[in-house]
Amino acid sequence: MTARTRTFFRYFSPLWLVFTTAVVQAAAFSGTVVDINGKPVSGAMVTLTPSWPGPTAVTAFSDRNGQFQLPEQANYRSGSHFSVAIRALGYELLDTSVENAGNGVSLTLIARATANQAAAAPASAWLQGKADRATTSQFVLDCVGCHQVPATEFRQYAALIEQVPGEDRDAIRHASYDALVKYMNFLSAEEFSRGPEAAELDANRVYEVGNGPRVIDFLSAHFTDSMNELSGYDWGAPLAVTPQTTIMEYEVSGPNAIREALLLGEPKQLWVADVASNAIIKIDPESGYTTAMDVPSDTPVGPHSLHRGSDGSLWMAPFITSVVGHLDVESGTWETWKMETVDGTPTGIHDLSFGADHTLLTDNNGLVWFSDIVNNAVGYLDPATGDIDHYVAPAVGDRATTGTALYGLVMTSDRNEIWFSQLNIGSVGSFNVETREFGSSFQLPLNSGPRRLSISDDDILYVPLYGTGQLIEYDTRTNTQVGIYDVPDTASAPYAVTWDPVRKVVWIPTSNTDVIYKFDPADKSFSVLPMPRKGAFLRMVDIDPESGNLITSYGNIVQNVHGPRMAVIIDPGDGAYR
Amino acid sequence: MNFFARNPHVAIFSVLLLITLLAATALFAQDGNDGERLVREYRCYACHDMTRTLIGPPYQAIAARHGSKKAVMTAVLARKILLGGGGNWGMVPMVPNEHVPETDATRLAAWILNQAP
Repeated sequence: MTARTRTFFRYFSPLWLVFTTAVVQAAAFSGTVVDINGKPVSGAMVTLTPSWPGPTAVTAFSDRNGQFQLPEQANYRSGSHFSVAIRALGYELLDTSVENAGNGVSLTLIARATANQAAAAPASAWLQGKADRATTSQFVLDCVGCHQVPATEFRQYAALIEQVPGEDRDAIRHASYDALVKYMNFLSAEEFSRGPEAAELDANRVYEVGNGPRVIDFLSAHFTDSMNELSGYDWGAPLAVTPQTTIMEYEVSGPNAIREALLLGEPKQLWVADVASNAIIKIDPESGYTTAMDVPSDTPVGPHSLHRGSDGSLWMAPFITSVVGHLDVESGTWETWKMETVDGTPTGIHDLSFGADHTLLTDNNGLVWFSDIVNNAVGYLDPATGDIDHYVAPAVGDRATTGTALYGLVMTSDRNEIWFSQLNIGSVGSFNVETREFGSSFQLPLNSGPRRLSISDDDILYVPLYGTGQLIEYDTRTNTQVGIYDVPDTASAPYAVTWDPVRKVVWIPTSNTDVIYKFDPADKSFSVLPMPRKGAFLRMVDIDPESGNLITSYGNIVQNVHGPRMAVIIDPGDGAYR
Repeated sequence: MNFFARNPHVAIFSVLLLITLLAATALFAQDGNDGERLVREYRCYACHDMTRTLIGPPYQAIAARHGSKKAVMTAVLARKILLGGGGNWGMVPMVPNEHVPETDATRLAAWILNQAP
């Protein structure tokens, strides 16, 4: 087994099976999950990893009777290898038996109840009850911006620390976590310094720890055992699944730093941004085959944010100041605009303006607006002329005016106003694109971390708070806050929100809990759509307007964090878009 | 007649021993270039240098401490690279590196042990 497959299968423990009975062309995989007393196990994720073309893995959920049904496997041939795994809090897979059943494969999965949830629980489970809200929020902002904490590798290191002999445990922990943070800072400085203008890496200089002392104190105080036993965690809300819910994961072989994904074209293909290159990677959902397509640019791009055009085209905003790209998916031709203002100032960019149905929106004069994350500004691009200009946001109280990370951006339905978040200063504000004036804003505690925004058909703004683990609902027409709600796990680092115009709910992908939350504004309730994979570092969710399927990805960034890099198509199984 | 002529079994043994030692030296010497490439690939330089102490001990110090027991220590260090752990060079454990294939870990260990000044 290569190191890569060994790493890949570290995220769950499959049992390899060879289907050896009579020659049958089976297509339907179904079965039951029971415990060792024969009692059904409900709500377990059952994941099939096929060896035949198609998604890398397919998952369904067991119902109240423990029964599950996976999507039809058209490319299955009798005798093909496959493996089966489960992810269920409080259970581990003990045994699997496989049987022919007419034109299908019937699986009986026997699970053992276990008090130790360490194998199935997400990273955020280990943060429960550690510190107060403010301290935990600060820690999430310090660390989870780049990777889950504490992920499996971290817990392995904690166990090694516990094995170091010595009297002064606190000194050992501090020294060890100090070394770990330095190691990590060095590697990430190296990874993010790619490109022709990157400065020569100076090992002494990059051993700065930034907020290191605060992070190291937190780690030394709260991770004081071998971290291989955990109990009492639950998702915190009912599961938002049905017997028809399916999750299809497509691995994108590394090295890469894939980010957002969209489903576009005829036939539908997955388009995935790779921020570590110049490429958009196209995946055929039927076969799982990938092809990379470079954004035309003579400088590094780092495709980051993707937006669906209402005409089925693809808009791309880069991580590195370079070009905005617009791809005609049918013909494969790109149009690009250089990201600098009319007087030559380079602009940063994070999000392009979009509205309630998550498609790119221009204002009433045909301008695309964007969040200029580098210059604390909002900017516009005129696609007709290539003109770009920006407007620097006003100071907010006595908060910083540089390094604000002006981040998410949405446009109201009358297309007169854009709303934006400033991640590093905990502020959300507005700008009138007609009068070109900044308007009302509201402030949050500095460690709140507002990131990607969404807006409903009624111009209700949704703001996820990455640090504090909350959702804000704000009426932009009356400038009043409707509510602020804790998501079920406040250490989940909710990264984005996506308004679903048909279901009238908000989908909330999280970076630290391997779940997507579903928020229903009608009763302010949350439900949980868990992912079958540990290290599911979720960022953006898009919704395919035809099927209502959720399109997302596990966007693990740093190469040295060996988390999964997969594009994901989720059918919530509620038939809402039919 | 000299000693070796009178004791041909000793002569033969000595020659065989010399050939084996030369071969072993050659084998270890071959890993010189490969080790540098592997260090770059797996980014050991984040914590280790040839002569300076960074986060972890320098290769020369490791070779100086363990170089006389290459047969045993190659396997031990290869396992250490994969599993991490500490206590030998201070209180800070090395991180595990499970993504490194075992064959590469062994080649790295052999190269490191060859780095005595």
